Order: sequence, then structure tokens, then C-alpha cells
Amino acid sequence: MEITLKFLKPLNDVVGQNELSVEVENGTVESLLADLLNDHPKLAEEILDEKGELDYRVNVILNDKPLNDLDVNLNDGDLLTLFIPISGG
Amino acid sequence: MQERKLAVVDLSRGKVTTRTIPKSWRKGFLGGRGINSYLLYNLIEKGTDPFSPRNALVLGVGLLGGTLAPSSCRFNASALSPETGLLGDSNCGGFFGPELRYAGFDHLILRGRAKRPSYVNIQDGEIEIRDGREYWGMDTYDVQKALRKDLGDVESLVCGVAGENKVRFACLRNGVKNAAGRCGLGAVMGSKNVKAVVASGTDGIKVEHPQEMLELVQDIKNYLMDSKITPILGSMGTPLLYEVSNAIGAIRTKNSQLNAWSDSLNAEELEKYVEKMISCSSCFMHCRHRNTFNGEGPEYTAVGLLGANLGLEDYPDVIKLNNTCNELGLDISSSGSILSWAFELYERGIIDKKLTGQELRFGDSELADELLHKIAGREGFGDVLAESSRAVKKFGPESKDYLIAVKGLPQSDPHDVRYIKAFALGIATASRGADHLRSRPTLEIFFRLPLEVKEKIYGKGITADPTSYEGKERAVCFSDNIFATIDSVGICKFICHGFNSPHFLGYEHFSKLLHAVTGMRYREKELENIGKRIIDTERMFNFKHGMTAKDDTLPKRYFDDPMTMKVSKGHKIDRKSFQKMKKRYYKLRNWDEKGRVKKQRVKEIESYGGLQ
Repeated sequence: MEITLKFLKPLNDVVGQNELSVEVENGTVESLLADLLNDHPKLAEEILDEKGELDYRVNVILNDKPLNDLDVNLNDGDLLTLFIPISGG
Repeated sequence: MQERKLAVVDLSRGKVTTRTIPKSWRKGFLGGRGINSYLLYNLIEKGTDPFSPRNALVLGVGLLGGTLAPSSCRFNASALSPETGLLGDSNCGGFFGPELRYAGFDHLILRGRAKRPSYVNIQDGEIEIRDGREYWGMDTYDVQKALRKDLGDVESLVCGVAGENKVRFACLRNGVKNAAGRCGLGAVMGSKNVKAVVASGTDGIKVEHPQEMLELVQDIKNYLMDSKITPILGSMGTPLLYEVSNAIGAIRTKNSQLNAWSDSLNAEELEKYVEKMISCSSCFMHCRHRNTFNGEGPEYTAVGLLGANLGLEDYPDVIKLNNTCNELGLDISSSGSILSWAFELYERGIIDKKLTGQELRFGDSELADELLHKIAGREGFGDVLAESSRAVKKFGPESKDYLIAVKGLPQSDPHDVRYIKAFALGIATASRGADHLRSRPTLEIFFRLPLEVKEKIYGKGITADPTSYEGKERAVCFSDNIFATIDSVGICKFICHGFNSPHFLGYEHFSKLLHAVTGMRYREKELENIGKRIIDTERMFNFKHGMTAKDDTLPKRYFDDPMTMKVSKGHKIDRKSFQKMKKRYYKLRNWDEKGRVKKQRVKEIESYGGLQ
């Protein structure tokens, strides 16, 4: 199945693209992110905390649903968006 | 602690008096916003017209202002707001605040009205009211250039043409973009026949413990530079927030008829029009853009409210409107909100050409620019729009249903608060009206922030889900207090706890910095209590001027219309849940069931004494 990953700034700069299309046979958001970070070690530096877990400051949206638990099965055509929200005025 | 001064400038009589700021006020309110709010409560009588000489324009620099403390550039301008009739208070960066302190004054009160256009010159402890007729009619850029040409290396806080014409959302400006933007304080300056307050000084700020200060600042700087958030703010500034809000479907679009808009306003598109990033005084963050259209900005607020909210998709259009507002001295938040309101009213047929004199429509930047100029000059239909939310009187009662404002103040930022419920409570109860910089618990947008972290910050009872109403009063209450303290020490919120990261500067850091600078010991709890006291004082001011609990509410659309797009789809504010949350908030603040500060607390706050 095909999954689209979307990265907002500054994560897109690290990956080098705003969007990536990946083919996976099956799996969860967690396993997809693990594969992604293997391929993009610089991204791992940006989004993992000191324990090697996904930093809480990174928001993960699967289609139109924000995720807390990343152990969620993926479906063909899913859109996964990653971003770090900051605030301001 | 070094004795610092406050000056009262009586413009009607041409007199200036000065006095030392009492230590008790420092213990009770710190400086900046805190002392300003306390002064306003004491100075402005019930029933005062905001444009009458009886109103006062108070300027106050934070207690750390102008020192080496990071981002300690902030000051507040305060008055009875001509936009809301309630508390008018606005926090501003740039270079004016520090310069006012170097010139010898921490707080300045302008009272009365000058007989002719004037400016107030403050130089090394001396204050003079001078003839300002030659500067009257200049835009905010030209007047500052002229004052520098005539007076040398000065910092000026000015009103633009909009302020001279008493546009109810005219701002005060220092430099190209720094604004005491909200609540129409530029109009208050204009109503006093004052074009500018000019400061220059060579005194500096005495630091009680210089070595302690140097070590502390270096530690704090290293600490902040280690954060992942710092380089993001420093390279892209706040426009990054546009795509964050847009990603979750929370970007106010076409007067909040829609909640998502084009990716063409994403931050990477803005980079094409950025000359460089620059900063305010004492700041290493460098979060603002100098744009290629001879201006500064846009901030996120301008991207949203002059972009998506007006139905515009191209950055050059947004940047030009941003620069127009800056030149004319208009508050960008109110400008974008009021224009979009009028556009929707026209589309719905609630107003027509008889009133507007022309067709109104979204997606037309030339029309928007023309209307901004008309507003600043109070020409034609611009004269109606210049009344801000008070234009309901001309537009008719139905128009109020489409006004995105609270307490008469159009919402400050582009974030549609129907999804994150704490944001909704924040703008409903903020002391100056619909505004995110008074109490927004922005950490709620970190959807994966662990509950235990939230509980540690806000207390037990807070819930993890941002769409829940439960416990959100805790997040708003915490933010109220710390933001009031931040505005009173004079540090920028961008590097402070509760706004961008829970790891940024909080009470612990303020306590250390205050000791190094003033020699005074403020315990962390004491600083939180000062924040509470400031919030109560502002509440007392608002109730004195006619506010009631009914004013702690939201735009009708936020209750009635569900959002239609993206993550936020289907979300709106449930009236009953909102009322319950508001009641819990009052209780947590120790206000009575009608949202009033209790008598004993009023007595305690009044005991700090007035100016006399």
C-alpha cells in the first residue's frame, strides 16, 4: 500500500522534501516512522528525544486525526503529517 | 535597589512632575504591565470617555528592561481603550522601552490634552513638551526619520495618521514594525494632540550584582540555544504558525466562514521575500523578517488576518498590506478582522453600496489597501470601519452575529479556537478582550504532551485531550498569571515558559534575574502571586468601567457553526460546557459567581496607595 508522508517546516528541510510517498506491505505508524528514521538519520536527530523516543513536541496527524498512540494500523492512501508547533503573534 | 522614577506629564497645563516608584509597588506589581494596570485602576474615573483629557496614556517598562537579560526589551502602553471602553493594554518590543529607562524613567503618564500638536521629549532625566506641528500628518516611518534627523540618535514611540484621526484601532509604533498594537492606544495618543514620545539617555541601568548577572545571562543563553524551538523561531519567525494552524484546520479564513486555506502562504513561500532576520534590543532570537518591500514582517498574525481572512493567497499582497498597516499606524489584528467582517456582511446583503459606496469582496488586495487608507484618514466608508466593533451601530444588530470579537476587541490572532477549548476560554476571559497574548495555554497544541507533564505545569485535573473542556480552566489560569508576570519583568514571551516550550524561562529564572539586577529577593511563588494580583487589578478596572460576567464570552459563530475542514471538522463550542468551564475558572481565580474580585482582595490591592 502507498502512504504519503508530509513534513512541515523545518522538518521538510531535514528530509529535503515536503512530501514522500512510500510503499509498505503493512504495518503501523510506529513501524513506518522507525523505517523512515533509518533512512533519514538527520531527521532522527530532530524528532527523537534523549531516550530515543519521538519527542512530545512533534505532532503526528494521520489523515485528519491527531495521534497520541503511534501503534495504529496504516491503510492504503493514508496521509501522515509531522510537524513541530510553535506559537507566536 | 536603585531608585527609579515615574513622571506625570500634564499636557493641558504643560507641567511635569516626577516621583520615585515606591518599593511596595515593585513588590506588588514589579513594573511594566503590572504597575501600569495598577496606575490605570487608580487614575481613570468611571464614566471617562477614552478620548477625553481625563483618560491617561501610561507607558511602563518591565523591571528587567534594558539590561542584559535576554529579550528584555518589552514595555507596555496602557489606557482606557477607545476600541472596547475597557482595559487597553499592549506589550511592545523594539528599542523604545530600554531607551526610556536609559533616559531616566520607568513609567510615564500622559494626562490632559496639549493645546496644539506636540511631542514629549525625554533626555537624560529632563522632560519637555515641545511643539510638534511640523511632524503632524506624517506616517510612522517618516516621523521617526524626521525626529532622528532633528534630534539625533533617539528612540520614538509614535502614532501614525490613524492615531491622529482617532481610529479606534490605531496603534503606537517604534521602529518599522514594533507595535503597541492592540486596543487603540495610538488613538489615545492622537486624542491628546501628541505625535510622539521621544527618548534618549546615557544613564544605563544600574545592576546590583554584575558578576552574578553576567554568569546568569550566559547560562540562560546557552540553555535557550540548546532548545529545538530556538533555531526554528530564529530562522522562520512566527509565520511558521500559519501552516501549523492550517494543518489542523484552525486558520481563520474569510471571517471564520472557513477554517483552512492555501499552502501558498506557508513559511517557505515567504522566504522568497525576506532580506534578513533581525531582532529587538537584548535579543538573540532574531525572529522577525525584513521584507523585500521595504518593510518588516509579516508576523503570523498578518499572514492569517491579512491573508486567509481576506481571501488572499499571494505573499506579495499580504506583505504590502502588512506594510501599509505599519506605515499608517493601524493594528493589523483589528484591521484584518474588521475588513473581513465587512466583506462578509456585504456578501450577505446585511450592508450595501448605500453605506459602503463601493462593492466589497474577498480576495481583492487593492480594495483592502484602499480601505486601509480610507480607515486611517476616516474618509467615506473608512470612517465607519474606523469605529471597529462599534460599527455595529451603523451595520445593524444582525451584523453582530458575524463579528469575531470579545468585549469589543476583534480577535488578535488567526487561530480559530473552536477546536482547542482552552484557547476558547483564554480569549473569552482575557482582560483586554479576544487576545492570545494574555492567557493562551499554547502548550495545548502539543497534542502528544504527556498528561504527567501537563499536570506538573497546570495541576491535577487537567486533561490531555485538547478538545476536552475538563480542567482547561487550570491551563488558562496558569497562563494568565505567568503572562502577566512576564509582561511586568519585561521579557519577551517567545522565550518564556507556557508560550513556546515548557522548558523556556519561568519563575525560577525571573527570580534569579531580578535578584541580580535589583538585589531584591522574589520567591517563585511570590512572582506567581504578583501575576494573580495583576489579573485581579485588571479585572477590577474592567468591572469599574462597566464589564460584567456576560462579557466573558465568544463570538456567536464559535458557538453555532461547526468547523468544516481537516482535523477540526465538526468542532464548535458547546454553550453549556463553556459556561461550566467558565464557572470553574472563576472559582479557581477566587472570584465570586458573577466573576467579580472579592471585597477583601479589592481592599488588599487598593492598600498599595495611589499617586497622591
